[in-house]
Amino acid sequence: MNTKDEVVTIFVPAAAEYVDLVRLALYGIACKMGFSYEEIEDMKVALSEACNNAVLHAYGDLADGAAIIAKMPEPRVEIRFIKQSDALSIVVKDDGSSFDAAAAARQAESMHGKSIADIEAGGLGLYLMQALMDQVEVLSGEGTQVMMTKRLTRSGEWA
Amino acid sequence: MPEAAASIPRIRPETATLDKSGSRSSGIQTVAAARYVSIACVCGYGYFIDSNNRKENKRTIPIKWGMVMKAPDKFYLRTENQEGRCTVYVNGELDLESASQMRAAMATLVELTDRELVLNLRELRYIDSTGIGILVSVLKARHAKEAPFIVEAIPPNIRKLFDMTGITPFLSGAATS
Repeated sequence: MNTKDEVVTIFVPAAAEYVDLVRLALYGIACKMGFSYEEIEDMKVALSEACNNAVLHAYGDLADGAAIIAKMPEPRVEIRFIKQSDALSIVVKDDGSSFDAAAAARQAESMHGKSIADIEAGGLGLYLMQALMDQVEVLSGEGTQVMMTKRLTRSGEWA
Repeated sequence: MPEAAASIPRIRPETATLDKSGSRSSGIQTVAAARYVSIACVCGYGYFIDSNNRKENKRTIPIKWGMVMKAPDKFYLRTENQEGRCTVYVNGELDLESASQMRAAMATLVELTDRELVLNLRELRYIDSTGIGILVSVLKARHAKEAPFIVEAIPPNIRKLFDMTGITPFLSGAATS
């Protein structure tokens, strides 16, 4: 990443109904960069997982982003798209109460090899983020920042 | 699902052409309608237009002055009840916003232990961990009631997510596994 990278920044209210708008923005940016349909679908899910997390946990646990009483006047989520020459990085940032990144990472797991009694949905979001993107970094402290990166693979002519 | 791996549906609202047949159009009206089209495309309506016109490689939609451009429903369910079987068609995007609608519907349908509960995902365009979490709840509830639960017509991109998360083996429909 350097100063020549182009950055697109979106601020949305921390509510469930704005996550699809963020997906649309991602679609627009990723299409122009030349990502494939499948790569874009992957990124949409990963980005939504990060946004969902911000909506649900950043400002006191919410149920489905319902109306909240918040300390700050307009709880919002910042999504920053950083266009590099060979990759797209997306930073999802919220100023809400941070979550323990280490604890969350430990809980990132799938349902492989478990019985019906043991499977649960918790941890799937982070698991999917890591599986669908090339790199995921979670920084917490004041608020939370999740940075995920997808590299552009320039496929040559199919043999 | 676009069949050709090489072609990505590209919506270019600024180049959307307008079929002015049947409409009284002046220069101003045409420009206003073009903006309407751009907004409609950004709202996701462009997806529908593009997939419909893909074969002719068109990006045109007929615009009539005064036409109300309504964004299609993002998420909706359609239930079909037959002898011994209740099929729920899940359409659109199942995300955090539409999750509560899905949960509410499933809460009722999960109780139908006298018949098969089938989810048909043919028109499901998007799912993430929220929706998969709902499927897990339904799975467990049906399993506890020893009632059949089947998921059918899974699109390839959705199936990929199911495989990744490890839920696929649980979706084959056996009441007890």
